[in-house]
Amino acid sequence: MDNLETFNWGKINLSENLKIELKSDQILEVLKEGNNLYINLHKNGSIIKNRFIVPEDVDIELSPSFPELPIVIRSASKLAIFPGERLNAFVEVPMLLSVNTIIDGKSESLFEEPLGTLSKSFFGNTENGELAYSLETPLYSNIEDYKVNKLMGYCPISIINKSNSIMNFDRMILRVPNLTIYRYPDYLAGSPVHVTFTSFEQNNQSTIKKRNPIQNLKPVMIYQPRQVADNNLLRKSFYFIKTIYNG
Amino acid sequence: MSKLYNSIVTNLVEKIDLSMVALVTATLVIGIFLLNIIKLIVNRTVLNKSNKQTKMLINKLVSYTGFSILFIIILGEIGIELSTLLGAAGVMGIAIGIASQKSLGNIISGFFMVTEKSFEIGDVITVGDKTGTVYSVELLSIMLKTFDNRLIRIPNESLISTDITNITRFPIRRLDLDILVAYKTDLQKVASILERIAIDNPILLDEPKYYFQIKNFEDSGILIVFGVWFEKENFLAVKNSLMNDILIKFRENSIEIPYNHIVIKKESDNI
Repeated sequence: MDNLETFNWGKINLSENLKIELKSDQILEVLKEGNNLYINLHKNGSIIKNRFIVPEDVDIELSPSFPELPIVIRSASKLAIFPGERLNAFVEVPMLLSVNTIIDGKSESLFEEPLGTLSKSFFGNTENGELAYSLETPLYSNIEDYKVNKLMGYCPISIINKSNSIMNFDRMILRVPNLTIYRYPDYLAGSPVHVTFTSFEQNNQSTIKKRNPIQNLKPVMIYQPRQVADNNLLRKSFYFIKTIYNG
Repeated sequence: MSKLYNSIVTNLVEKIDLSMVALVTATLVIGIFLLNIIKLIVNRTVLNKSNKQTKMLINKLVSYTGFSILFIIILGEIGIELSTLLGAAGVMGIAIGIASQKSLGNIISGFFMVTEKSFEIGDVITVGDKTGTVYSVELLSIMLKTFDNRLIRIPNESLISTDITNITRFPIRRLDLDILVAYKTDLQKVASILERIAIDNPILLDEPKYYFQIKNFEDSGILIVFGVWFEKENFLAVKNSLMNDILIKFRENSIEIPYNHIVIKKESDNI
């Protein structure tokens, strides 16, 4: 049986059935018989069965993915950023395991299972806010300060305080569905996110950088964002500006 | 009226022939086709960004108007004189007007309801003692589909003069539970148990934060209000799991929920 800690993400050979241990009490089983693809999850003594009718020559891949909802991050300790100063930190995000088909180079997710626990939350006011996951994070500046493991994604964030007053960090939304996933030898990382804080009254700008999360290491890009950000720059900026810090 | 009736009967009997049937059929087919095209254009342009109930209402109006025009055209084709019809329409109009006062009131109320946007098709609303999902919006009424799969028709006039509670308007809701605990109970302990329940239940939202209030000293215990936030579609699951969790945790921690006792004594008991 394979283990996720040692498993290499990517295409899987289904000439033999695949059994992979997700957690201590969870085993994922992927088997193919002709054009029948079975994805079974053994969980707490019961089996959740899924059956798909797929083209016989279809490729199947296993990939990590970020959660389908954005994440509201809260600092585990009180955090304040002085005017003109910048916080560079990493957020540790529990990943999901995805089983995908690849047809004509296009990846289609068939099954997903969270590899960690995230609680549901709500960002914004109760009338028109949005559902999100919630995560308390120590916001370590060095990735090594986390007990790094392959079931987590590490998202570099950078927050610059361009206001004239001290910014007391309460919480911010991290739009993980828009992030690309990169693989490094020891961990997975998401695209870097830069946030410019101007004031609590105004909307603040957030941009997702399309570059390697950790500059001095060469990663492999293994998963495109779940939700592709709009190509229209104005709309894209407005989208991010509007929702960065108004919760 | 008798003149109109005679005209219709005479014309129908004398003038029906195959070419007329073909003409009427063609007019009907082309008319319905054109009406559908008009509805499509209206939907794609004017109603493109409108909500479902506005679309439904305007579509019905277009249909009724269209069919009325088509009806008049067909009457003309089969030789019924329009002037006779219009003459009679004056008399009929008064009769119909008197008879349809309520209906007209319902139509006008319907338009007010649509512009108010207090609910949309698919919303769960409570009107008086009736709760259900808005199934359709008609010209004169709305249809509510109840959770036990019954259809209730509520006239627009009733709606406009009644309180309507839209239960699913916003993406999240709060469920408030009234919990009675015995006077001897440690309220700090109750607060921390309820907090734990709110944190541990995976279908509850951790923000906005749960609500805890010591509400009142009642006759048989202290009334506590415990409110939790959840996604609107999870109402039943939240209520069932929350009540179950509270009962289990209260039992584990020997927290008494007071209730009325009936003591039955036999006459032979010498008290």
